[in-house]
Amino acid sequence: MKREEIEDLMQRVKDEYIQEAMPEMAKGRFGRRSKKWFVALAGAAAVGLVCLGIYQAEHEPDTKEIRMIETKAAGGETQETSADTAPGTDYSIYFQGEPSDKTADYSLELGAGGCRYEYKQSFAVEPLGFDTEEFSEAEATVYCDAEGKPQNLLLLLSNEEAGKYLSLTVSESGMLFSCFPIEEKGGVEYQGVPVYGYHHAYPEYTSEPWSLGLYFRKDGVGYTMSSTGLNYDEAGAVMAAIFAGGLKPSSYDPNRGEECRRTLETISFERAGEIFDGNVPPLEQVAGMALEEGCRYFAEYRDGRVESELLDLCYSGGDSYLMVTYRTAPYKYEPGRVIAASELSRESAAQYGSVNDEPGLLWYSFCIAYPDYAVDITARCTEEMLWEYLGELKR
Amino acid sequence: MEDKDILRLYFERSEYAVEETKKKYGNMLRALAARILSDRRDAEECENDTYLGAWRTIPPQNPQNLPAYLARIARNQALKRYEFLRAGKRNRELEVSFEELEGCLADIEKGDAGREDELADSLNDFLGNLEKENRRVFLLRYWYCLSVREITAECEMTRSQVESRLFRTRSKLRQFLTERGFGK
Repeated sequence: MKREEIEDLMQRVKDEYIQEAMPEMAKGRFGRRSKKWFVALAGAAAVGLVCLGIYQAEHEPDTKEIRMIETKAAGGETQETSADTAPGTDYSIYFQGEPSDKTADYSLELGAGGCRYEYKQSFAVEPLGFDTEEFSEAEATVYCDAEGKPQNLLLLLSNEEAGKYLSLTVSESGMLFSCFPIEEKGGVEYQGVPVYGYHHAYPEYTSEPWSLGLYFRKDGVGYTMSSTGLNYDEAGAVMAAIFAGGLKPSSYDPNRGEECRRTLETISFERAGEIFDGNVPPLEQVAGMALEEGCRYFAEYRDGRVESELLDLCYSGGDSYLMVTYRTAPYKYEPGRVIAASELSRESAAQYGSVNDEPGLLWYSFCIAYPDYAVDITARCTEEMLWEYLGELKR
Repeated sequence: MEDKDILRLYFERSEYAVEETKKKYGNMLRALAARILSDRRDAEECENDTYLGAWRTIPPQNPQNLPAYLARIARNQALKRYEFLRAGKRNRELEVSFEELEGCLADIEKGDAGREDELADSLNDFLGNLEKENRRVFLLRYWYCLSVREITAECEMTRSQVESRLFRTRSKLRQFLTERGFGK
């Protein structure tokens, strides 16, 4: 075998073996990097959403039933929809467009500034109008604006074993969502509506052969479909079903979903201390590093109750930085890189220092475990600088 | 942050997806790329490409094993970049590890397209049958491209232990694949 063939072969080693072999040393090299592409991408896409959640539901394949109920706007009566997939249609033509790099104006602000409703029970995600037997798992999230009005819908269907994944994002405001810049020219008409599609191969990223995507607007609602492992006919059937039925965020009954909300605010050290056991040192400066954006506090609510809290602090100065993240349950420790609070010492922290590319600086990444919360430390600095902060923490 | 929460952010196209990925796996990805590329800037570019790859493929992908998924992208990107840069600067350690595998698999043919899948399955079968420690040593060398010296530190073995395990595993692999009909 030639080298290229060997490389290809090795690329197909199972995930579980790759993770099992993952070297410990890999966790400790080099420092923080620029966010060039990310800033550009985020800027271009204008993604300004509030972080919201998707419940990773596990459903038994044999009990999965996916149905959607369309609620008519006028009168509010309920009516089931069915697919009209127009037998014989050559759906491949809708997937021949190439993403263009000329425009980058389309994004979807899924968060919509308010709460979300998660549908994690199969009965709550009702018939979609296309054949869903091949998908063993399903989940839906409806995002509402500040007034509680449904704005966006994210629907995920998957069959891990068969390698089939389908995501649908539906926006009442007509937004289309794409990580590719797309240009609304040259679409293929379907039932009088321009449809923009792509058939994109990702051999450079994964072993998956291709992805299919579609973008279109119908009755002012924006539909974005993204799939892997579906052939043209399967993906086309989904498109046809969308045209046939009223798959909209407002189609879902909020009473069937769990209300979730995530907030982000900058809080005082005093309040941060109240949340985390009086264990947040009120330091604007540490070892010549300055606090960048204050105490950023995230709270996740579910059905009105706080589910988890997170406090993010970032100090930086010169080539050094120190990132501190406090988090309440649920969290998991990274195996092998945990210091029990009672054992926190300069020596115990020093063992996680590893050589960095910047002379004189070390790379640190570990977690300090307290009974009710954890403090993650990620830093590039000297041992003295690190201890200047850690020395302020409770033990 | 747990992997499922990071994936959730990707699905929501949240800018925090990349940030959280970087926080949790940035070191690992950078180190993995650096093993292959030996240059900090190249490794950083490769790390960035990995985030971009993840951003572009999730969704529709919803990987069950996020670190392995990211590692796969990073390794692929690093190898591509390495090929591009190879004329200019060779990574001796990487060259040696490839030569070891090339020597081992010189008499192995991947066959036509249909057989490629079989070959990959066979490799995974072979790895699955190895003792865990031997499998790890093998992958540290030929997947993560660590030097023998680094593997001794990772696995707390002596150099000769690592080298003999690698030698035996390579020999077994060649024999295994030959028995499965991939020999020339």
